[in-house]
Amino acid sequence: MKARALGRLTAMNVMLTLEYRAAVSVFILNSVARPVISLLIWLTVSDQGVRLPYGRGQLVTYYVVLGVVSMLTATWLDETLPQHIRLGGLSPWLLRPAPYVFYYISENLGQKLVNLSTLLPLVLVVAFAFRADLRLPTSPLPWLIFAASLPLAMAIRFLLELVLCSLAFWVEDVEGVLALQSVLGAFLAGQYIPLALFPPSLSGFLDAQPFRYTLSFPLEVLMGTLSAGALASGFAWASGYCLVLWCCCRLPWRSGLRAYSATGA
Amino acid sequence: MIRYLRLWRQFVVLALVRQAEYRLNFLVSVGVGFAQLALAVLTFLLLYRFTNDVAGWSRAQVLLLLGIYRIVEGLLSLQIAPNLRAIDEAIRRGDMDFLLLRPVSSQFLVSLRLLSPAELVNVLIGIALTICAGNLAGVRWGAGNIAEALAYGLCGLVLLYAVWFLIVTCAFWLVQVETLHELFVTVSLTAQYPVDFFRGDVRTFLTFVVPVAFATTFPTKALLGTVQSRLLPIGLVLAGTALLATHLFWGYAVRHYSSASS
Repeated sequence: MKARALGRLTAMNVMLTLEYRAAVSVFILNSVARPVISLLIWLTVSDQGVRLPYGRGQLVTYYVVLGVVSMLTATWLDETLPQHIRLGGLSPWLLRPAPYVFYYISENLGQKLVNLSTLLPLVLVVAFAFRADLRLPTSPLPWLIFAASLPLAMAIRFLLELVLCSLAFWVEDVEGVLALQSVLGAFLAGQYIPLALFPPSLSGFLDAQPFRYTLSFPLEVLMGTLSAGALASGFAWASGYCLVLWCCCRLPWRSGLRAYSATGA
Repeated sequence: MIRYLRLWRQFVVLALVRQAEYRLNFLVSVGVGFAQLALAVLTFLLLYRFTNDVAGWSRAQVLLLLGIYRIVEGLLSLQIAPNLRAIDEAIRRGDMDFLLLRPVSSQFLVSLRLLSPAELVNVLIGIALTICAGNLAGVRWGAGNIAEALAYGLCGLVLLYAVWFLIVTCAFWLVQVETLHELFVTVSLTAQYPVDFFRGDVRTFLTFVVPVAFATTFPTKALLGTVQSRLLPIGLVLAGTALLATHLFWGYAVRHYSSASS
Protein backbone atom coordinates (compact mmCIF):
# COMPACT_ATOMS: atom_id res chain seq x y z
CA MET A 1 0.00 0.00 0.00
CA LYS A 2 2.78 2.42 0.97
CA ALA A 3 4.92 1.28 -1.97
CA ARG A 4 2.03 2.07 -4.30
CA ALA A 5 1.67 5.57 -2.83
CA LEU A 6 5.37 6.19 -3.44
CA GLY A 7 5.05 4.92 -7.01
CA ARG A 8 2.10 7.22 -7.79
CA LEU A 9 3.85 10.25 -6.27
CA THR A 10 7.02 9.56 -8.25
CA ALA A 11 5.03 9.36 -11.50
CA MET A 12 3.39 12.69 -10.62
CA ASN A 13 6.78 14.30 -10.05
CA VAL A 14 8.10 12.99 -13.37
CA MET A 15 5.27 14.91 -15.06
CA LEU A 16 5.97 18.01 -12.95
CA THR A 17 9.66 18.01 -13.84
CA LEU A 18 8.88 17.63 -17.54
CA GLU A 19 7.02 20.96 -17.33
CA TYR A 20 10.32 22.74 -16.81
CA ARG A 21 12.36 21.15 -19.57
CA ALA A 22 14.34 24.24 -20.58
CA ALA A 23 15.32 24.90 -16.98
CA VAL A 24 16.35 21.27 -16.55
CA SER A 25 18.62 21.33 -19.61
CA VAL A 26 20.50 24.37 -18.36
CA PHE A 27 20.82 22.82 -14.89
CA ILE A 28 22.26 19.69 -16.49
CA LEU A 29 24.59 21.68 -18.71
CA ASN A 30 25.96 23.33 -15.56
CA SER A 31 26.40 20.08 -13.68
CA VAL A 32 28.54 18.74 -16.54
CA ALA A 33 30.40 21.97 -17.35
CA ARG A 34 31.70 22.68 -13.83
CA PRO A 35 33.56 19.37 -13.38
CA VAL A 36 35.03 19.80 -16.88
CA ILE A 37 36.46 23.21 -15.88
CA SER A 38 38.23 21.58 -12.90
CA LEU A 39 39.37 18.72 -15.12
CA LEU A 40 40.99 21.08 -17.63
CA ILE A 41 42.95 22.78 -14.84
CA TRP A 42 44.27 19.51 -13.42
CA LEU A 43 45.15 18.24 -16.90
CA THR A 44 47.24 21.37 -17.44
CA VAL A 45 49.15 20.58 -14.23
CA SER A 46 49.43 16.90 -15.12
CA ASP A 47 50.72 17.62 -18.66
CA GLN A 48 53.43 19.90 -17.25
CA GLY A 49 55.08 16.71 -16.09
CA VAL A 50 54.09 17.20 -12.43
CA ARG A 51 53.62 13.86 -10.66
CA LEU A 52 50.10 13.71 -9.17
CA PRO A 53 48.49 10.88 -7.16
CA TYR A 54 46.10 10.50 -10.11
CA GLY A 55 47.34 10.03 -13.67
CA ARG A 56 45.77 11.61 -16.73
CA GLY A 57 43.38 8.70 -17.29
CA GLN A 58 42.21 8.68 -13.68
CA LEU A 59 41.60 12.44 -13.65
CA VAL A 60 39.47 12.19 -16.80
CA THR A 61 37.49 9.23 -15.48
CA TYR A 62 36.91 10.91 -12.12
CA TYR A 63 35.57 14.19 -13.50
CA VAL A 64 33.50 12.66 -16.31
CA VAL A 65 31.66 10.20 -14.03
CA LEU A 66 31.44 12.86 -11.28
CA GLY A 67 28.65 14.65 -13.16
CA VAL A 68 26.47 11.52 -13.16
CA VAL A 69 27.10 10.51 -9.56
CA SER A 70 26.64 13.99 -8.12
CA MET A 71 23.34 14.32 -9.96
CA LEU A 72 22.19 10.91 -8.72
CA THR A 73 23.06 11.73 -5.10
CA ALA A 74 21.86 15.35 -5.12
CA THR A 75 19.18 16.58 -2.72
CA TRP A 76 17.29 19.85 -2.55
CA LEU A 77 15.21 19.46 0.62
CA ASP A 78 16.66 22.71 1.92
CA GLU A 79 14.65 24.68 -0.64
CA THR A 80 11.25 23.79 0.82
CA LEU A 81 11.31 21.66 3.96
CA PRO A 82 12.35 24.34 6.51
CA GLN A 83 9.67 26.70 5.15
CA HIS A 84 7.08 23.92 5.30
CA ILE A 85 7.88 23.39 8.96
CA ARG A 86 8.03 27.07 9.81
CA LEU A 87 5.00 28.27 7.86
CA GLY A 88 2.71 25.27 8.31
CA GLY A 89 2.90 23.72 4.82
CA LEU A 90 3.46 20.45 6.65
CA SER A 91 -0.06 20.37 8.08
CA PRO A 92 -1.99 18.93 5.09
CA TRP A 93 0.48 16.03 4.99
CA LEU A 94 -0.21 15.03 8.56
CA LEU A 95 -3.75 14.14 7.47
CA ARG A 96 -2.75 12.09 4.42
CA PRO A 97 -2.36 8.31 4.52
CA ALA A 98 1.27 8.36 3.29
CA PRO A 99 4.22 9.53 5.43
CA TYR A 100 5.31 13.13 4.83
CA VAL A 101 8.82 12.10 3.85
CA PHE A 102 7.38 10.22 0.85
CA TYR A 103 6.65 13.58 -0.73
CA TYR A 104 10.36 14.38 -0.71
CA ILE A 105 11.57 10.93 -1.71
CA SER A 106 9.18 10.89 -4.66
CA GLU A 107 10.11 14.42 -5.70
CA ASN A 108 13.77 13.46 -5.53
CA LEU A 109 13.36 10.25 -7.55
CA GLY A 110 11.00 11.80 -10.10
CA GLN A 111 13.29 14.70 -10.89
CA LYS A 112 16.36 12.49 -11.08
CA LEU A 113 14.67 10.14 -13.57
CA VAL A 114 13.94 13.04 -15.91
CA ASN A 115 17.34 14.67 -15.34
CA LEU A 116 19.12 11.42 -16.21
CA SER A 117 17.52 11.32 -19.64
CA THR A 118 19.07 14.73 -20.42
CA LEU A 119 22.30 14.18 -18.51
CA LEU A 120 23.39 10.87 -20.05
CA PRO A 121 23.57 12.07 -23.69
CA LEU A 122 25.59 15.10 -22.59
CA VAL A 123 27.97 12.98 -20.50
CA LEU A 124 28.39 10.69 -23.49
CA VAL A 125 29.45 13.68 -25.61
CA VAL A 126 32.03 14.70 -22.96
CA ALA A 127 33.19 11.08 -22.62
CA PHE A 128 33.62 10.92 -26.40
CA ALA A 129 35.71 14.11 -26.36
CA PHE A 130 38.02 12.54 -23.75
CA ARG A 131 37.72 8.96 -25.06
CA ALA A 132 41.51 8.54 -25.40
CA ASP A 133 41.99 8.85 -21.64
CA LEU A 134 38.74 7.52 -20.22
CA ARG A 135 39.33 4.31 -18.23
CA LEU A 136 36.13 2.52 -17.30
CA PRO A 137 36.26 -1.02 -15.89
CA THR A 138 35.62 -3.75 -18.45
CA SER A 139 34.76 -6.55 -16.01
CA PRO A 140 31.29 -6.62 -14.39
CA LEU A 141 32.50 -6.83 -10.76
CA PRO A 142 33.58 -3.17 -10.25
CA TRP A 143 30.30 -2.06 -11.85
CA LEU A 144 28.34 -4.24 -9.43
CA ILE A 145 30.18 -2.85 -6.39
CA PHE A 146 29.69 0.66 -7.81
CA ALA A 147 25.95 -0.05 -8.16
CA ALA A 148 25.87 -1.20 -4.54
CA SER A 149 27.62 1.94 -3.28
CA LEU A 150 25.25 4.33 -5.09
CA PRO A 151 22.05 3.71 -3.06
CA LEU A 152 24.11 4.10 0.13
CA ALA A 153 25.46 7.42 -1.14
CA MET A 154 21.98 8.62 -2.04
CA ALA A 155 20.59 7.56 1.32
CA ILE A 156 23.35 9.24 3.36
CA ARG A 157 23.01 12.52 1.47
CA PHE A 158 19.22 12.48 1.79
CA LEU A 159 19.13 11.53 5.48
CA LEU A 160 21.85 14.04 6.36
CA GLU A 161 19.89 16.87 4.81
CA LEU A 162 16.65 15.62 6.34
CA VAL A 163 18.20 15.70 9.82
CA LEU A 164 19.57 19.22 9.33
CA CYS A 165 16.28 20.50 7.89
CA SER A 166 14.40 18.96 10.81
CA LEU A 167 16.26 21.34 13.11
CA ALA A 168 13.67 23.85 11.85
CA PHE A 169 11.24 22.31 14.38
CA TRP A 170 13.21 23.95 17.15
CA VAL A 171 15.39 26.62 15.53
CA GLU A 172 13.73 29.52 13.71
CA ASP A 173 16.40 30.00 11.08
CA VAL A 174 18.32 26.97 9.76
CA GLU A 175 19.26 28.53 6.40
CA GLY A 176 22.73 29.48 7.64
CA VAL A 177 23.55 25.92 8.78
CA LEU A 178 22.25 24.50 5.48
CA ALA A 179 24.24 26.96 3.37
CA LEU A 180 27.41 26.15 5.30
CA GLN A 181 26.96 22.39 4.95
CA SER A 182 26.27 22.65 1.22
CA VAL A 183 29.53 24.53 0.59
CA LEU A 184 31.68 22.57 3.05
CA GLY A 185 29.99 19.27 2.20
CA ALA A 186 30.62 19.64 -1.53
CA PHE A 187 34.29 20.33 -0.84
CA LEU A 188 34.69 17.36 1.52
CA ALA A 189 32.75 15.08 -0.85
CA GLY A 190 35.29 15.64 -3.64
CA GLN A 191 32.97 17.73 -5.79
CA TYR A 192 35.72 20.16 -6.78
CA ILE A 193 38.94 18.25 -6.12
CA PRO A 194 39.36 14.47 -5.77
CA LEU A 195 40.03 13.55 -2.13
CA ALA A 196 43.09 11.59 -3.30
CA LEU A 197 44.78 14.92 -4.14
CA PHE A 198 44.41 16.22 -0.56
CA PRO A 199 47.49 16.01 1.72
CA PRO A 200 48.08 12.39 2.86
CA SER A 201 48.15 13.54 6.51
CA LEU A 202 44.42 14.29 6.22
CA SER A 203 43.44 10.89 4.84
CA GLY A 204 42.35 9.53 8.24
CA PHE A 205 39.96 12.44 8.71
CA LEU A 206 38.76 12.35 5.11
CA ASP A 207 37.91 8.64 5.34
CA ALA A 208 35.94 9.11 8.55
CA GLN A 209 33.75 12.06 7.53
CA PRO A 210 30.32 11.30 6.05
CA PHE A 211 30.59 13.48 2.93
CA ARG A 212 33.15 11.14 1.36
CA TYR A 213 30.47 8.44 1.15
CA THR A 214 28.03 10.73 -0.66
CA LEU A 215 30.18 11.14 -3.77
CA SER A 216 33.86 10.29 -3.65
CA PHE A 217 33.51 6.69 -2.46
CA PRO A 218 31.38 5.43 -5.40
CA LEU A 219 33.82 7.11 -7.80
CA GLU A 220 36.83 5.53 -6.08
CA VAL A 221 35.06 2.17 -6.30
CA LEU A 222 34.48 2.55 -10.03
CA MET A 223 38.06 3.66 -10.67
CA GLY A 224 39.38 0.60 -8.86
CA THR A 225 41.86 2.55 -6.73
CA LEU A 226 40.76 0.87 -3.48
CA SER A 227 42.22 -2.32 -2.01
CA ALA A 228 39.86 -5.05 -0.79
CA GLY A 229 40.40 -3.90 2.80
CA ALA A 230 39.70 -0.26 1.94
CA LEU A 231 36.55 -1.34 0.10
CA ALA A 232 35.30 -3.31 3.08
CA SER A 233 35.99 -0.52 5.58
CA GLY A 234 34.40 1.99 3.18
CA PHE A 235 31.20 -0.02 3.02
CA ALA A 236 31.29 -0.39 6.81
CA TRP A 237 31.58 3.39 7.29
CA ALA A 238 28.82 4.04 4.73
CA SER A 239 26.39 1.54 6.27
CA GLY A 240 27.22 2.86 9.74
CA TYR A 241 26.44 6.44 8.73
CA CYS A 242 23.22 5.29 7.08
CA LEU A 243 22.09 3.58 10.26
CA VAL A 244 23.06 6.43 12.61
CA LEU A 245 21.40 9.06 10.42
CA TRP A 246 18.28 6.92 10.13
CA CYS A 247 18.02 6.82 13.93
CA CYS A 248 18.67 10.58 14.10
CA CYS A 249 15.74 11.11 11.72
CA ARG A 250 13.29 9.16 13.86
CA LEU A 251 13.79 11.52 16.78
CA PRO A 252 12.72 14.85 15.23
CA TRP A 253 9.78 13.26 13.47
CA ARG A 254 8.44 12.03 16.81
CA SER A 255 9.26 14.70 19.37
CA GLY A 256 9.63 17.44 16.74
CA LEU A 257 6.09 16.93 15.52
CA ARG A 258 4.92 17.54 19.06
CA ALA A 259 6.85 20.84 19.12
CA TYR A 260 5.35 21.75 15.73
CA SER A 261 2.98 24.69 16.08
CA ALA A 262 1.97 25.11 12.40
CA THR A 263 2.29 28.88 12.31
CA GLY A 264 0.13 30.37 9.60
CA ALA A 265 -2.02 27.32 9.03
CA MET B 1 24.02 62.37 -18.93
CA ILE B 2 23.80 64.63 -15.85
CA ARG B 3 20.22 63.52 -15.40
CA TYR B 4 21.32 59.86 -15.42
CA LEU B 5 24.06 60.51 -12.87
CA ARG B 6 21.54 62.25 -10.62
CA LEU B 7 19.13 59.34 -10.99
CA TRP B 8 21.89 56.88 -10.08
CA ARG B 9 22.67 58.92 -6.94
CA GLN B 10 19.04 58.50 -5.94
CA PHE B 11 19.33 54.71 -6.47
CA VAL B 12 22.33 54.62 -4.13
CA VAL B 13 20.50 56.57 -1.42
CA LEU B 14 17.45 54.30 -1.71
CA ALA B 15 19.62 51.19 -1.53
CA LEU B 16 21.33 52.42 1.64
CA VAL B 17 17.97 53.10 3.26
CA ARG B 18 16.77 49.63 2.29
CA GLN B 19 19.98 48.01 3.56
CA ALA B 20 19.55 49.63 6.96
CA GLU B 21 16.24 47.78 7.27
CA TYR B 22 17.80 44.35 6.73
CA ARG B 23 20.91 44.12 8.86
CA LEU B 24 20.99 40.32 9.02
CA ASN B 25 21.27 40.23 5.25
CA PHE B 26 24.50 42.18 5.63
CA LEU B 27 26.02 39.54 7.92
CA VAL B 28 25.00 36.77 5.50
CA SER B 29 26.73 38.56 2.59
CA VAL B 30 29.92 38.91 4.61
CA GLY B 31 29.81 35.24 5.68
CA VAL B 32 29.19 33.97 2.15
CA GLY B 33 31.98 36.19 0.83
CA PHE B 34 34.50 34.77 3.30
CA ALA B 35 33.38 31.18 2.63
CA GLN B 36 33.80 31.59 -1.14
CA LEU B 37 37.21 33.14 -0.67
CA ALA B 38 38.33 30.38 1.70
CA LEU B 39 37.19 27.74 -0.80
CA ALA B 40 39.09 29.35 -3.67
CA VAL B 41 42.24 29.77 -1.57
CA LEU B 42 42.04 26.10 -0.46
CA THR B 43 41.66 25.00 -4.08
CA PHE B 44 44.81 26.86 -5.07
CA LEU B 45 46.75 25.62 -2.03
CA LEU B 46 45.91 22.04 -3.06
CA LEU B 47 46.90 22.80 -6.65
CA TYR B 48 50.25 24.31 -5.63
CA ARG B 49 51.01 21.43 -3.25
CA PHE B 50 52.48 19.55 -6.20
CA THR B 51 54.32 22.31 -8.05
CA ASN B 52 55.45 25.94 -7.70
CA ASP B 53 54.51 26.91 -11.20
CA VAL B 54 51.29 26.25 -13.10
CA ALA B 55 51.36 27.46 -16.71
CA GLY B 56 53.85 30.18 -15.77
CA TRP B 57 51.91 31.42 -12.71
CA SER B 58 53.38 31.34 -9.21
CA ARG B 59 51.29 30.90 -6.06
CA ALA B 60 51.51 34.61 -5.14
CA GLN B 61 50.50 35.65 -8.66
CA VAL B 62 47.44 33.41 -8.56
CA LEU B 63 46.43 34.84 -5.18
CA LEU B 64 46.78 38.32 -6.70
CA LEU B 65 44.41 37.24 -9.46
CA LEU B 66 42.02 35.88 -6.85
CA GLY B 67 42.01 39.29 -5.15
CA ILE B 68 41.09 40.97 -8.42
CA TYR B 69 38.41 38.32 -9.01
CA ARG B 70 36.86 39.17 -5.61
CA ILE B 71 36.79 42.87 -6.55
CA VAL B 72 35.16 42.19 -9.94
CA GLU B 73 32.73 39.70 -8.45
CA GLY B 74 31.90 42.08 -5.61
CA LEU B 75 31.23 44.96 -8.00
CA LEU B 76 28.97 42.74 -10.12
CA SER B 77 27.01 41.63 -7.04
CA LEU B 78 26.88 45.20 -5.79
CA GLN B 79 25.47 46.95 -8.82
CA ILE B 80 24.47 44.43 -11.51
CA ALA B 81 23.28 41.17 -9.93
CA PRO B 82 20.28 42.52 -7.94
CA ASN B 83 18.91 44.10 -11.14
CA LEU B 84 19.44 41.24 -13.56
CA ARG B 85 18.07 38.75 -11.05
CA ALA B 86 14.87 40.82 -10.87
CA ILE B 87 14.23 41.11 -14.61
CA ASP B 88 12.55 37.74 -15.17
CA GLU B 89 10.19 38.27 -12.24
CA ALA B 90 9.28 41.73 -13.56
CA ILE B 91 8.47 40.25 -16.96
CA ARG B 92 6.40 37.40 -15.52
CA ARG B 93 4.34 39.64 -13.23
CA GLY B 94 4.02 42.53 -15.65
CA ASP B 95 5.93 45.02 -13.48
CA MET B 96 8.06 45.63 -16.54
CA ASP B 97 5.24 47.91 -17.77
CA PHE B 98 6.12 50.53 -15.19
CA LEU B 99 9.82 50.43 -16.05
CA LEU B 100 9.16 50.80 -19.77
CA LEU B 101 6.83 53.75 -19.22
CA ARG B 102 9.44 55.94 -17.48
CA PRO B 103 10.94 58.77 -19.58
CA VAL B 104 14.52 57.40 -19.42
CA SER B 105 16.35 54.54 -21.15
CA SER B 106 14.70 51.31 -20.02
CA GLN B 107 18.01 49.40 -20.25
CA PHE B 108 19.55 51.91 -17.82
CA LEU B 109 16.68 51.40 -15.38
CA VAL B 110 16.56 47.60 -15.48
CA SER B 111 20.36 47.33 -15.22
CA LEU B 112 21.26 49.83 -12.52
CA ARG B 113 18.29 50.80 -10.36
CA LEU B 114 18.96 48.32 -7.51
CA LEU B 115 22.13 48.00 -5.42
CA SER B 116 23.13 45.72 -2.57
CA PRO B 117 25.54 47.83 -0.50
CA ALA B 118 26.53 44.86 1.70
CA GLU B 119 28.61 43.54 -1.21
CA LEU B 120 30.95 46.48 -0.71
CA VAL B 121 32.56 44.36 2.02
CA ASN B 122 33.52 41.74 -0.58
CA VAL B 123 35.09 44.44 -2.74
CA LEU B 124 37.13 45.60 0.27
CA ILE B 125 38.22 42.02 1.04
CA GLY B 126 39.29 41.76 -2.60
CA ILE B 127 41.28 44.99 -2.43
CA ALA B 128 43.03 43.83 0.75
CA LEU B 129 43.92 40.47 -0.83
CA THR B 130 45.12 42.22 -4.01
CA ILE B 131 47.47 44.46 -2.02
CA CYS B 132 48.87 41.64 0.16
CA ALA B 133 49.32 39.16 -2.69
CA GLY B 134 50.65 41.94 -4.93
CA ASN B 135 53.44 42.66 -2.45
CA LEU B 136 54.21 38.91 -2.24
CA ALA B 137 54.33 38.66 -6.02
CA GLY B 138 56.67 41.65 -6.22
CA VAL B 139 54.33 44.12 -7.93
CA ARG B 140 55.90 47.55 -8.43
CA TRP B 141 52.90 49.77 -7.67
CA GLY B 142 52.79 52.86 -9.88
CA ALA B 143 50.18 55.12 -11.42
CA GLY B 144 50.88 53.59 -14.84
CA ASN B 145 50.26 49.91 -14.16
CA ILE B 146 47.35 50.59 -11.79
CA ALA B 147 45.63 52.73 -14.45
CA GLU B 148 46.24 50.02 -17.03
CA ALA B 149 44.84 47.34 -14.72
CA LEU B 150 41.76 49.49 -14.06
CA ALA B 151 41.23 49.97 -17.80
CA TYR B 152 41.34 46.20 -18.41
CA GLY B 153 39.12 45.58 -15.39
CA LEU B 154 36.54 48.06 -16.67
CA CYS B 155 36.47 46.33 -20.07
CA GLY B 156 36.10 43.00 -18.27
CA LEU B 157 33.22 44.26 -16.11
CA VAL B 158 31.39 45.66 -19.13
CA LEU B 159 31.89 42.39 -21.01
CA LEU B 160 30.63 40.27 -18.11
CA TYR B 161 27.63 42.57 -17.73
CA ALA B 162 26.93 42.23 -21.46
CA VAL B 163 27.11 38.42 -21.41
CA TRP B 164 24.80 38.21 -18.41
CA PHE B 165 22.40 40.81 -19.81
CA LEU B 166 22.15 38.99 -23.15
CA ILE B 167 21.37 35.75 -21.30
CA VAL B 168 18.74 37.38 -19.10
CA THR B 169 17.05 39.18 -21.99
CA CYS B 170 16.01 35.73 -23.22
CA ALA B 171 13.50 35.85 -20.34
CA PHE B 172 11.12 37.64 -22.71
CA TRP B 173 10.70 34.32 -24.52
CA LEU B 174 11.48 31.69 -21.86
CA VAL B 175 9.35 31.70 -18.76
CA GLN B 176 11.67 30.20 -16.16
CA VAL B 177 15.15 31.67 -16.26
CA GLU B 178 16.45 31.08 -12.73
CA THR B 179 18.76 28.42 -14.11
CA LEU B 180 19.98 30.85 -16.78
CA HIS B 181 21.61 32.85 -13.98
CA GLU B 182 23.43 29.68 -12.97
CA LEU B 183 24.73 29.43 -16.53
CA PHE B 184 26.30 32.85 -16.10
CA VAL B 185 27.72 31.85 -12.71
CA THR B 186 29.48 28.92 -14.40
CA VAL B 187 30.94 31.29 -16.99
CA SER B 188 32.12 33.74 -14.34
CA LEU B 189 33.65 30.91 -12.26
CA THR B 190 36.27 30.43 -14.98
CA ALA B 191 37.43 33.99 -14.24
CA GLN B 192 38.98 32.88 -10.95
CA TYR B 193 41.66 30.99 -12.89
CA PRO B 194 44.28 32.62 -15.11
CA VAL B 195 43.20 32.06 -18.71
CA ASP B 196 46.62 30.43 -19.30
CA PHE B 197 45.45 27.49 -17.16
CA PHE B 198 43.29 26.53 -20.13
CA ARG B 199 44.68 25.52 -23.49
CA GLY B 200 43.77 25.63 -27.15
CA ASP B 201 40.20 26.43 -28.14
CA VAL B 202 39.03 26.87 -24.55
CA ARG B 203 41.55 29.66 -23.99
CA THR B 204 40.58 31.41 -27.24
CA PHE B 205 36.92 31.07 -26.23
CA LEU B 206 37.55 32.65 -22.81
CA THR B 207 39.62 35.46 -24.33
CA PHE B 208 37.47 36.56 -27.25
CA VAL B 209 34.06 34.85 -27.31
CA VAL B 210 33.09 35.00 -23.63
CA PRO B 211 35.95 37.27 -22.64
CA VAL B 212 36.39 36.59 -18.92
CA ALA B 213 40.16 37.03 -19.46
CA PHE B 214 39.68 40.80 -19.54
CA ALA B 215 38.09 40.77 -16.09
CA THR B 216 40.90 39.09 -14.14
CA THR B 217 43.84 37.67 -16.13
CA PHE B 218 44.76 40.85 -18.01
CA PRO B 219 44.39 43.24 -15.04
CA THR B 220 46.67 40.92 -13.04
CA LYS B 221 49.22 40.82 -15.84
CA ALA B 222 48.99 44.61 -16.13
CA LEU B 223 49.92 44.95 -12.45
CA LEU B 224 52.78 42.48 -12.93
CA GLY B 225 53.90 44.38 -16.03
CA THR B 226 53.68 41.35 -18.33
CA VAL B 227 50.60 42.21 -20.39
CA GLN B 228 50.81 42.62 -24.18
CA SER B 229 49.82 46.24 -24.83
CA ARG B 230 47.93 45.42 -28.05
CA LEU B 231 45.25 43.74 -25.94
CA LEU B 232 43.86 47.00 -24.53
CA PRO B 233 42.48 48.37 -27.83
CA ILE B 234 41.02 44.91 -28.53
CA GLY B 235 39.32 45.00 -25.11
CA LEU B 236 37.88 48.46 -25.72
CA VAL B 237 36.51 47.43 -29.12
CA LEU B 238 35.06 44.20 -27.68
CA ALA B 239 33.43 46.05 -24.78
CA GLY B 240 31.97 48.71 -27.09
CA THR B 241 30.60 46.09 -29.48
CA ALA B 242 29.14 44.09 -26.60
CA LEU B 243 27.35 47.14 -25.18
CA LEU B 244 25.90 47.94 -28.61
CA ALA B 245 24.77 44.31 -28.94
CA THR B 246 22.95 44.41 -25.59
CA HIS B 247 21.28 47.68 -26.61
CA LEU B 248 20.06 46.28 -29.94
CA PHE B 249 18.94 42.94 -28.47
CA TRP B 250 17.10 44.68 -25.61
CA GLY B 251 15.28 46.92 -28.09
CA TYR B 252 14.30 43.89 -30.16
CA ALA B 253 13.18 41.94 -27.09
CA VAL B 254 11.07 44.79 -25.68
CA ARG B 255 9.14 44.98 -28.95
CA HIS B 256 8.16 41.34 -28.33
CA TYR B 257 6.99 42.01 -24.78
CA SER B 258 3.37 41.05 -24.28
CA SER B 259 2.67 42.74 -20.97
CA ALA B 260 1.39 40.26 -18.41
CA SER B 261 -0.72 42.71 -16.45
CA SER B 262 -2.86 44.52 -19.00
